[in-house]
Amino acid sequence: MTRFLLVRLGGALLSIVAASMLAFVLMRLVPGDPARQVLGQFATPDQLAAFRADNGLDGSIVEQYGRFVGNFVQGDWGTSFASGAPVRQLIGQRLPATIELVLVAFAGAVASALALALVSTYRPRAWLDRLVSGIAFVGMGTPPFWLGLLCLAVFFQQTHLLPGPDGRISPDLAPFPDRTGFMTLDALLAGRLDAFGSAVSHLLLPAFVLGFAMFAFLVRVLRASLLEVADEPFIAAAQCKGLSRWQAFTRHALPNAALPALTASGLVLGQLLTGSVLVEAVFDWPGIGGLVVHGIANKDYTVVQIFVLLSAVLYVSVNLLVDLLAAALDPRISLHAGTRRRRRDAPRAAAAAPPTARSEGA
Amino acid sequence: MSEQLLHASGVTIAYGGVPVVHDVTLTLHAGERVGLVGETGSGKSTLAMSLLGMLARGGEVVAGSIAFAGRELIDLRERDWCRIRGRELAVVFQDAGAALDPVKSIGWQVAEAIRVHERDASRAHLRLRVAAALEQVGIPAARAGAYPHELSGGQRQRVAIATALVHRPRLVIADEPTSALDVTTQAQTLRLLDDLVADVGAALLMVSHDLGVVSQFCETTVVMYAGRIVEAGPSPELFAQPRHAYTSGLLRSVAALSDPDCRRLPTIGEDVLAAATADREAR
Amino acid sequence: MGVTVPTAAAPPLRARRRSPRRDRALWTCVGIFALIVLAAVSAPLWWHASPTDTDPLAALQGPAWAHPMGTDQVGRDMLARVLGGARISLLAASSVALVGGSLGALLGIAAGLGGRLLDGGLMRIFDAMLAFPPVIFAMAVTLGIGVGLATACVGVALSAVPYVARVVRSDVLRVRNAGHVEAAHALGVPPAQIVRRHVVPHVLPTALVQIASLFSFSIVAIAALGFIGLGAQIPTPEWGTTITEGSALVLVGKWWVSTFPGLCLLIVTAASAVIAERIRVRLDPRNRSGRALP
Repeated sequence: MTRFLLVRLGGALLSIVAASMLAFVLMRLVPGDPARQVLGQFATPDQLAAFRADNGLDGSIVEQYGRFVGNFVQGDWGTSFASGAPVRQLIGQRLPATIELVLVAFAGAVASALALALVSTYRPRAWLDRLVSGIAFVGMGTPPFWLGLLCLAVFFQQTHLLPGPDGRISPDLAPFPDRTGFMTLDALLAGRLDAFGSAVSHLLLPAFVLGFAMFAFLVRVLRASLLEVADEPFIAAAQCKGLSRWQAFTRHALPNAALPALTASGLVLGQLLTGSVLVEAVFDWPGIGGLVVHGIANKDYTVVQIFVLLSAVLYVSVNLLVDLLAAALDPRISLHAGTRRRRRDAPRAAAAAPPTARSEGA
Repeated sequence: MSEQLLHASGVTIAYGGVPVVHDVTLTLHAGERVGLVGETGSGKSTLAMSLLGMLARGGEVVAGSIAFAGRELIDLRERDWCRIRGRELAVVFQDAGAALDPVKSIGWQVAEAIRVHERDASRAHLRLRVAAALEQVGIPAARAGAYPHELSGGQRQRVAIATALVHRPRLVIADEPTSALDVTTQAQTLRLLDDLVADVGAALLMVSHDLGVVSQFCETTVVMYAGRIVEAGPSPELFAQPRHAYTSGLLRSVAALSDPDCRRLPTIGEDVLAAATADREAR
Repeated sequence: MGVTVPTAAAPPLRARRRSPRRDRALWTCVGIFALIVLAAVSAPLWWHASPTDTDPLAALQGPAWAHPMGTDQVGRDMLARVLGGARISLLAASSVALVGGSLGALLGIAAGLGGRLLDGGLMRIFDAMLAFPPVIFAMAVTLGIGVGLATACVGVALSAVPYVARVVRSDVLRVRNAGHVEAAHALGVPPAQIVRRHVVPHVLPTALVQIASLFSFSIVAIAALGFIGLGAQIPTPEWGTTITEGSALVLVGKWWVSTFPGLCLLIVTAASAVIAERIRVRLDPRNRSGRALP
């Protein structure tokens, strides 16, 4: 078991290191000289050299990389060119907003995907089949930024049902203490129901838009899984013991179907990361995605670079976690000798999915 | 003779409108052992599944009635089926490995079978019952936490038997219970089944294509072909002096293997098959 | 009489093995797709407006007969822009799919057939690339090389290469371990011929499926990059860029500038995804679970 863990951990670490090199190289290819951009065209060579030395832009690329990595692990993530604030501080400030959004979107997507997949596979009907398939395909093809704009147009601009892109909460509400960083929680903790309501209503549209693509993807995976498992004899055997069809479905089909879906959900995180960039741009949500978009617009590449690296770290870590979880939950996967023997291909196969398995552009 | 337990009369089953079982009449008495034999596609499994209300999608009983312990099974609501299945009617499938949930331990699955009909059973009580059930089929109670893939085929089949008998049902339907096992394990499993079924006093309907097993195990044999019952009667007589040409054809096909003078494997002639099919149609 | 016994674990309605001719979903999508392609390509013939002609007097007019999709803030006809965007997106997505797919397939074959070193080396590189969510990787590439539609295409193609390569590689490994390749090798058949005769035919269906899925992925990926400003630049009528241009307008009620391009985007992507899916189901019948999704 430990050997298995170490092997996987080692692999993940290697991936991250390689990814950091890749990210670094890509970023350094950026044409244009950051020093000159920041200091302006009248800067003297000395000033330029000083700027470069200060920002780790001198020396060979290997030296730069080494310095970069050293700083990164120590917590020094550089300084934003545009705002002058340390990148780490910027990210720290904006992280809770993104986490709140992502969590709500994810929870909503998983719950609805589960419900829809269950209902549509329990009593298969042709029209339901087609409807859910249609939703899944449309959902995966819907660009989140467009959906966001559409929702804003309908729910905000035309009908004024929901708030527009003015952040996480209505600006004219009295402030309350920031304890967890999550608006909704903090409002509840402060006993402010009006603020809570406002925070929730501001969350609704962005979370829906972010979660929609995920929902479409998960519905497909879960349905496919469930349809396969529903065929298996042990479901019928469970009914022969006296369980109702629904009981057999939820107690036996669902757990078996969830396993392959679990591995695929690691890919969902990729969508979340990309989606949050796009959705936060549309709704002007004060999260990390918004930071990146502004960074791109302002040519503030330190920020973007850190974001790219962090998303790689997160992606690899979550996939590792999901793999470990799937291995722990599936009794058929033997964790010995650093290898995995399994009876069915199902849990692994989804991980090698090609681009369609991820929501396009999200 | 003992009381009539199951009486199916004039049962016709169709899949998507195409009949696969024609006008079958079958009676089982309490404690009786009936063997249902026939080749693949004869409709024997379909008939057996209809007794459990477990026909695959598209299948329905289009005619006839099935009375079990005085109760009409056709048109029964699922809620009532759930009360009967596992408690009065039980089934042992052919491939026990496929009939067990791969991600749950065998102990959990046996406990589930108990819990379904004994809602208030405490955890301790369940554990005792599970241990007893497993011991009864020769699996040490310590292995209750094992998963199906960790057991051998024979052991899995024994778990299936334990699960089926846990509520002492009145009728056990065994659908090719030993076809997936090797010969030695077959003998063991059958012996076990024999003992336990006798102990519970259940009637047994054994669906099989293995004439040898059926002749030893079941006091009555029913022969099916093409969805119809071709011959039925007490096993010793049926096997010694088959009355229908198809039955004799079947027996001849088996006997040939031990006959040193046999040069060509006997087949069941076209004329016999035609006769078997036409037989019923004429009535 | 028609008495029904309650049915049990019902066999589900899955990929109906109908003949391709009767697959309604497939043909509907092919029809829609073909219609859009045709309309886009032939637009200059039947639609008088051009995507770049500005007409400030006609700015921000809603959908009407003269301008079925309205006009944008400088008076450009939206229908022309959407159709122009279609030409761009379709061309870009096709190139990305073909180039990315072929490159991925080639590398996959190389990794699958090559020795430990080549295979290991390539897989490490892919692992590094796969550590990033694809669009973010494309974003990094585009930032690195320089923004623009061409570089966005390169970025998207590169981001998809490892996925294609991995799938093709596992196919190649399977073929390689199959008896007939070993036999051919033992008989002294030259490697190039082995590849041509034995490996490629097995790998071709997979590669085709990948290319098809890559197509629908890249349409949205390129648009996403355009939306954040890394892809096609204003005033190219690429769909993503157009949506950005219209985003502020949505809040003041001028919804048509962003809505129509996005709608088209959605339709084309969904249609091509369905087509790709159908191709996959037909070309790879042993693909019951995993790989891509049913």
